[in-house]
Amino acid sequence: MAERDELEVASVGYRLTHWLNLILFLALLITGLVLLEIEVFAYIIYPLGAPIATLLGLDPGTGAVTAGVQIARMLHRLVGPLWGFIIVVYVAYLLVSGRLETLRVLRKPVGQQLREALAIISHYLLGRELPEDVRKGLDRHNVLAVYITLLLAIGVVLVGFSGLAIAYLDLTPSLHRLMLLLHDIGFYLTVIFLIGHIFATFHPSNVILIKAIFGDGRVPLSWAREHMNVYVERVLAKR
Amino acid sequence: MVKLKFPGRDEGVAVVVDLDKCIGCRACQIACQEWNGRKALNTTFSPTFTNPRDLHADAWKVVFFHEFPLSKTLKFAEAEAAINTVEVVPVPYNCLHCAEAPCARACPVGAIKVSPEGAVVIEPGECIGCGYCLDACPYNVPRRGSDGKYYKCTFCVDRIQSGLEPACVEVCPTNVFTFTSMREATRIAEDLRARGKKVYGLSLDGYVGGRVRWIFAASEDKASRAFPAMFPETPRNSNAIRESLEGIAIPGLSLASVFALAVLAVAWWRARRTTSKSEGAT
Repeated sequence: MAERDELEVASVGYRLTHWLNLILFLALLITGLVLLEIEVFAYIIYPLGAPIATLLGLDPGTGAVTAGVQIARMLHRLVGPLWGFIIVVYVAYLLVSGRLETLRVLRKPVGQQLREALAIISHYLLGRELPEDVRKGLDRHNVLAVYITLLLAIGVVLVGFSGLAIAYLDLTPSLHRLMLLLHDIGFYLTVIFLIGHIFATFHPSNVILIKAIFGDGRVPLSWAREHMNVYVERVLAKR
Repeated sequence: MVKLKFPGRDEGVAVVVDLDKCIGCRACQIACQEWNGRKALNTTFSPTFTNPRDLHADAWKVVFFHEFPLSKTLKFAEAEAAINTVEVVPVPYNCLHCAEAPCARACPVGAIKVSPEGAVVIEPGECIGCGYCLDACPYNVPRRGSDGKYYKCTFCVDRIQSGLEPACVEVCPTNVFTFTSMREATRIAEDLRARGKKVYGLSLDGYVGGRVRWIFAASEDKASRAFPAMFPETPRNSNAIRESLEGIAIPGLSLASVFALAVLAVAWWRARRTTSKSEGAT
């Protein structure tokens, strides 16, 4: 396909950040789940702790869990700030370079936003076609994606500052408790985003985006006109 | 792999602490420190007799002295003498060993064990020093040691399982502590209550399992001075919200994931059917 028939939707920086997000968030998710609910998620950490317990001569059962969770906790404390740093740098870059596309959709009137959100929900859940005016008004990110991204933003801020406080500040027990609660709330919000994000990208109508984000970052222009018409017009006008 | 089982509500052991018998000699505090091999702490001046001033990784039992001014009138045959004095209420204090200990529920490695007798014990070899036990404890009992691990009263579970009483119980010269079965302790405490004493530990919040295994009783006067400072009427903290949230969020988000997968599966099935139909038409 000729280059002019394609549109770049994910730059190299975007894809690199997405890879880093994927790996670091996965590490935080696994290590965090273990700390959150060991009775349910002990099996995740056992394979990591078992060899270390053997090396240290600890009990292969309880020692493996202890060693595994201790490693999980250390990784969580190291990976968390790293992930936070990457996000801060990336968001700062987007803001400075004027490439923050996500919030653009929120300039639409609220009624229009809700109509778009409902149309997309019924498209995803019931397979209904999008109304023509909604389809033509779609930007780089649709309203629903932006809403759950806002949820993510709140979640990341909560887990970020509470996590740093827990790991690196000498908190009183009551403050420590509060920070753990906020950390949990932030985590749950992030997981809600994650479920929505994975659902949307694996939906048959969006699967081309997965190929783009893990490939060359480009999508067919015809597909882009169907899914992000306003964005396409904006990009083409700049060319 | 990590499973927690609490003894039943009336199972296991308990201690009734009759504060009216306590003379504040601190023999229990010393016996605890000695039996458990805890090192002596540097003493510091404090405005009260309480020393150390709070529980510590090396002081699992501390006698807290609650002081309050008291005016007394002494009556003689020909005169009355009013004197102002200070009344002292000593409260020997340690982990209360909640019936369903929140600290044990919160420990991410299962390092806090609950013995069949109901003793809630931190296994130092398994503790990773995260402090979640202190976060969960409504009485702020576990304390971080210099090795980064958390420590607290073990109910002398090693002694109990050898047929002995806890060290503090055994050494008390005035029989403040009655170590017995939970069922019998409940009966004794109810009896003390019937005789007009205030009792703490039997009807508590569900967060601690409704009761604790160290049940305190004191006369109205002493209880009104000491209980509010030591024993919260509703022993729960923000960790209870965390627990409730966890109980909703983990199954809720799991269900949401399954629902999302099911919708995705249907969407893919419809997409393939549409594709094969359109291919068939051409």
